[in-house]
Amino acid sequence: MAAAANRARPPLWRNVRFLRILGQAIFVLLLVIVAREAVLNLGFGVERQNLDLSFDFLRQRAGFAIKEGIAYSPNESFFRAFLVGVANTIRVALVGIALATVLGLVMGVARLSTNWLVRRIGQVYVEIVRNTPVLVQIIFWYVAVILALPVIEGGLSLWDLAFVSNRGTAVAWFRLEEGAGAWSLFLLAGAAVGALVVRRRTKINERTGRLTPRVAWAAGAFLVVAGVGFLLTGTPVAGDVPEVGRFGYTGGVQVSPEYTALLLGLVIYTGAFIAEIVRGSIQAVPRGQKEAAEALGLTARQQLRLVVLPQALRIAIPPLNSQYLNLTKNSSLALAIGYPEIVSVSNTIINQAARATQMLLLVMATYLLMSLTISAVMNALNRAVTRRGQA
Amino acid sequence: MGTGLLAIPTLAGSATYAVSEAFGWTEGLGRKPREAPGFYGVIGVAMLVGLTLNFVGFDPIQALYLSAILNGLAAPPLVLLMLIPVQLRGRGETTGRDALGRTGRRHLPGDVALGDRLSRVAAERLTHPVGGVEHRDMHGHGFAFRKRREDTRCILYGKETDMGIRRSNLFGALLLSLVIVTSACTRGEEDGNGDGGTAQPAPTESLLQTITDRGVLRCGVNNTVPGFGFETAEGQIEGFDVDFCKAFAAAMFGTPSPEEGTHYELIPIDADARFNALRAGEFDVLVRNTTWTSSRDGAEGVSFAHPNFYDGQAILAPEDDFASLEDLDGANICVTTGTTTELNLADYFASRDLDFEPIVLEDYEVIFEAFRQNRCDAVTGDRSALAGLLPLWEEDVPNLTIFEDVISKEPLAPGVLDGDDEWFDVVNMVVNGIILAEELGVTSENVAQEIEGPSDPFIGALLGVPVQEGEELGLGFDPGLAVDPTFMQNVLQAVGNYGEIFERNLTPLGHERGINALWTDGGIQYAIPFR
Repeated sequence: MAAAANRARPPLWRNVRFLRILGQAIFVLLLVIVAREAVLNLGFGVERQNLDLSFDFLRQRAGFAIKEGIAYSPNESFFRAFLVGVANTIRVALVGIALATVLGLVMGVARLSTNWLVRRIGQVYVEIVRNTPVLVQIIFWYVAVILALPVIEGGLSLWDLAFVSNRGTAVAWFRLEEGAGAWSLFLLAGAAVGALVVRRRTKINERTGRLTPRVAWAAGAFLVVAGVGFLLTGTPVAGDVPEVGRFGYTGGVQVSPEYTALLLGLVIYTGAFIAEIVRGSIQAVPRGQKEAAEALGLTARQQLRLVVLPQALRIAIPPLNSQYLNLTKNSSLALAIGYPEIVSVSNTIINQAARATQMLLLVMATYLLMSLTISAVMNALNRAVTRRGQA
Repeated sequence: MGTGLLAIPTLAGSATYAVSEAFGWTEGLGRKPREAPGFYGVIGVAMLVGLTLNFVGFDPIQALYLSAILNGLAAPPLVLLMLIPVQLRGRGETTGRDALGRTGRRHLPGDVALGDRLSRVAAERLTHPVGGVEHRDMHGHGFAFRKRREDTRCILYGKETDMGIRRSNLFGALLLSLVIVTSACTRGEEDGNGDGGTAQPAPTESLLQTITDRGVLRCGVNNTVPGFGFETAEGQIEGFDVDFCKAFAAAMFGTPSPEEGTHYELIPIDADARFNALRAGEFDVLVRNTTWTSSRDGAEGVSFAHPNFYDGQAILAPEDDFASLEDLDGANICVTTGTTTELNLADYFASRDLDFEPIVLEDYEVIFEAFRQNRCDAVTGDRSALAGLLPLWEEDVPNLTIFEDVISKEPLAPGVLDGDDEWFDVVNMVVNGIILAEELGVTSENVAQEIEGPSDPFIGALLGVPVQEGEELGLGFDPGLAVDPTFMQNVLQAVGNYGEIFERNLTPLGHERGINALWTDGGIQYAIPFR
């Protein structure tokens, strides 16, 4: 240290390096003090109210019913109930993300349309939806639309295969029976055959220059194989047609009205934001690209599909990430309409077991985990499509 | 503990450095053990000594204390030796290398020279340095005793110019004071251990005292249940529970009309948030048709007073569609979130092998919307709440009925936070007093008369009125609660007795006394005696 003193240095109060370190040290000190006070406050509060901070209560019997979700009965533990909530959240988040992206894409492109009406519709939609609170929208969809659907006796039906009422939506689906396992092998074989057909058709196309409908050929091959397998395994699929009961539907694939309302609210709300992101990213693609595409003779639709959108969506990935996270977290508003997702179930658990601190920590950790997963996927996607070099 | 762990490396390190320098050994934690055997040897020995002290039974806290004293005694002279010499005025000159390695005779400005000489002397006396060594004192300040052929110099790191020493002194002084301040803070924390550090006041002031000082009683109430706590068109909240809130305010502040001077404040709260709000101190008493259960007494930390309404959970459904409870097998039933009803319904239906789907919504307003639109077939809740809502709801959904089946017991009672027994006693005894007044026949009308001259000693005890003993006026009965013994006078003048409160709020909605009649009339309302 004495040797270092031999170098010429500016005095301490002008020494930038020193000042930077001092600034950081002070900041760290302040941070430590604030954190210490917060932790002490928590400890103080816990002691004053005699709360215990263990998570053992999660093993107690839940005692309350949850109306939809994975298999669960009131005799299971609180933790199992919580998992039902998590599954429900994932259910609405994944479908919501997919639908919101589609809607956002469509509306974003619409806002840039040359057709005046289409443009206006897009604008009105985005402005109205973006500027009203999402909770209000969700409650609106539930109370004004879903609840207003006809009651179950007078419900709408589509050829007796699909039903809609304010008790939910039920759609006929197939039920797998014996031989389904064998049939799935045929399906896989069919997919492989289809891929081979595509490859062969592509090679023919390249060799002769003739355009052949590759997808149609592949689909045909797949269907042939699947059909043969279907017959050979003894028709392992039966129809599962929903029946209209007194209180609800039995059978078929069902979607509860709360789920529908939440999905509608979230998709429409997030779709507006995504529309703006898409619009912005399309406009961020250099004009030269569009002009060059036009010069090549591509139609407007082809320009969009082949030149502009691929570049635009690449830019759009990071902001899309945030919108997906927003959608996932906004699903917590389902508490207002009775859809049993994480926050709603945790609320009930807190009321029954009175351990608010632990449950809230658990809820936050779960949301953190889901958000980090979504972000990780999006970041990987981003890395995969990032162009090296010139944009 | 934390302070101790932080102190170990610094203390151990400084001790070994001091010893090594005194004997002129190679030293430095940067050295390998092989290179500096004496240095590391001292660390090892110090550790062993410390361990043995522990097992020998020497009190380590006592040792710490003693060493702190020694430290305190030794520190000032050392610091003085560092700081004061620089401040002394005097002229002089010096030779030897400076911080930049320059040699040669040069002037030292007056305020350095004498100090320089003094520090030189002190350094020589203190250390015996042989080579260039470094020393760190226990606060981590570095200064070097560098002995060259010519002289010994005491240099604060890097700065041997006149101005430099003073600036480093400032920096050193700043660091020193910072360390002292933070260590004082931590010591303060050890003293006030468990009291939550320096920011929180210790919870020694009782809630009762807080309420008295504030002058306003805050009550958590419902604003969606007709009869118990319901917001009228004018925006006022009225009901059975609200009257009890007024009674508590009348007792606390000794006034027969607590509305004047607004001695009470009604805070509407929903079922989910009520216990958190009570714990957080948003209000002092929860009179919100809250069921007294063991888990609320325990885990929630609420103390419940005498129930002011014995209720039960029931199911409301359209009469035309459902003849009895069994018809509801598989039905969708609306429940309020955050209540005991969710659990009870599941248990009740399971015990009868019936199935149902709960539609869990936040309050009766949303529930009514769903019920009206036939999203749910029936609604469950406290019978009293449903009975209050039925007339309102029948305007939209005709022919409603409440099934006779009692899903569960729901004793509704005012609740206060655990921990303040005095406040709890006041709340409890006000409720009891109100019931007792009906037992004894004291109403808001005849209470003035009874205060003048009680009809019997029981009434006198209730009202805290001194009883005539011949010519003298004896003392009124004082149960020793934290309110004036005449508190029931104010309560009864403000809201009346139990029967009056019931008739005012619940009878117009069609509620019968039922089990809430007095025990002498076939019900179970039974007051604790005032004596």
